[in-house]
Amino acid sequence: MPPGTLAMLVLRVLRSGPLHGYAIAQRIRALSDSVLEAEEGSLYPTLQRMLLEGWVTAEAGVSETGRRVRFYTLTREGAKQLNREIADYEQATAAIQTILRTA
Amino acid sequence: MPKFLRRLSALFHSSRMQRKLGEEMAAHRDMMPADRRPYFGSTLRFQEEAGDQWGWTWLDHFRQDLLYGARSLRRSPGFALAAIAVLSLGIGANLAEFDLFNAFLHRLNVPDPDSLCQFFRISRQNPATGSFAIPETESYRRENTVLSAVISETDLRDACPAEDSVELRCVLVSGNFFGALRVPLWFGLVAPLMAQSIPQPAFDVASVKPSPASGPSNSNFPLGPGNAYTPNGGYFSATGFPLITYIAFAYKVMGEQSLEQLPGWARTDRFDIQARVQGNPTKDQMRLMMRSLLAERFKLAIHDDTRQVSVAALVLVKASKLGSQLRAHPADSPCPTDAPPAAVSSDPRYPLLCGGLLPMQPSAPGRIRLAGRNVTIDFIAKSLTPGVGQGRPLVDRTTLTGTFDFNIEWAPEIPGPVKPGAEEQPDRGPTFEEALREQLGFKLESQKGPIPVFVVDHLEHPSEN
Repeated sequence: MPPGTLAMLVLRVLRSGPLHGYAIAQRIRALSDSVLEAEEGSLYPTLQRMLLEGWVTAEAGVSETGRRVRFYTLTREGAKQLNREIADYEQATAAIQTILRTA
Repeated sequence: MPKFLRRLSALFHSSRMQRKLGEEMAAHRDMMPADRRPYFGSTLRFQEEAGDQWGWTWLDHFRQDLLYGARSLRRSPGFALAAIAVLSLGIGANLAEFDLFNAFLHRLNVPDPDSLCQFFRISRQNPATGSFAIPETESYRRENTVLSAVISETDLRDACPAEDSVELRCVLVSGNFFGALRVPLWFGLVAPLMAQSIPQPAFDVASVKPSPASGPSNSNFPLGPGNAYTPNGGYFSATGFPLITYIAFAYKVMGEQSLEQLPGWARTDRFDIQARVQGNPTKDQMRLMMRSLLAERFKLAIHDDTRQVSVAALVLVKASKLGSQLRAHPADSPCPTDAPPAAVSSDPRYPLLCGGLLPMQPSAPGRIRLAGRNVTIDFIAKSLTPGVGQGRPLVDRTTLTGTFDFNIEWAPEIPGPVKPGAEEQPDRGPTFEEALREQLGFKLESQKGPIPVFVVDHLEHPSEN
């Protein structure tokens, strides 16, 4: 996974609704056809940073398998941050592609 | 909740948060298929990284260090106490040494040494400290409005040769050196303005005559402090002005309060001066030549200094909003400095002449109307100083930069000249302060501040031509 993109992907996945940590990891893996893989535990420092920044909120709950987990929900501030990160990412990607095509 | 409060909350609930995070990661690991569990990574490392996000790791480390120190002290108190004593003595000795050095060796024997600061020049090409040329320091001294005074000194190597074993250190200092530092001069005299010891430009021929008792005052170019000037091929001609006008012209003195110890006759005795020099000198060169003439014929000795006085500070009523009769000078408009005083620019509110202060025809009798183009706010403030009254100088504290065009009209407390036959209007018009506010967008504030002054050390009645 490209460095610095995990937060953007987590925010994007949470846009469709609240999810717990394991479900977030599974969703990213499944949607990318297992191309994007990382140590799944690295999700938690990222989620802690998002809680601190106010991009997500966490609420205690029980998973489908009966485990005590926390469900993360995207906040309005988080949605704005997602838009900013997507715009930055698209700009950088377009620039890189231009170089690859023309240089 | 603001970010800071969330961070603070994490400090007080750190152990509970760590526990919840541990449970969450354990649940995640349990939900993973057994063959994928090694891909989860190190729980301990992620817990540390998660804790780092909240920004209190340093506090935790500090707490651990303190606990480690306390344990060490309990385990081997002798060693710990010896280390503490050595460190305390070392720090104390250093502090005492610094205080002694500061008190006895490094102390400047002047009142309020902490207010002194030194300026030196550093450039990228020459990182060593550099000094300033004498004309530069003179210019800084004259233009200074921030510091209470600017003084300068320079070492004169080999200027004071000692024949015997006593070595003399000779230092050349500016005229305001002793006054500004408030230290007495032990021996000798302060020389007049240093620039006078350097050969000054002078007129080739000059004639100074007392003016007839009555008669108009005239000059072939404006004698004010501004740049307005009509080059006359090196000819200076002025009739009927009191001596103070010539001194003010020579030294760019703004307002009578900036000229001290001037004998009374210099304000009343009027003179005609005709002088000529080859070439086409600038107005500032003419000023320097006038200095030489005054020094030669009137034995004028003068030095400049700085005074802390109560001033009327000119400030904007509303930040970055100019009054209706004040505008930033348009860079593209023609700007002659030798136009006839009566000519007006494309905007009839402003004269065509640039760089000077011009009296204009007021809209009603008894009022004063002044205008100028391409002048700084500092110039406007100095020019309008007489309007403030009570001898208080008007100083620029607006922070506006660049040059401006202005036009102001007010009714002085003592009405200006009224033409015979014209009746004074019942509505006298705005006072000076009202005009400043309504027309220029400025207001006055009482402040203390440094102003440059000129002190006349010596002046005599003129010698024969």
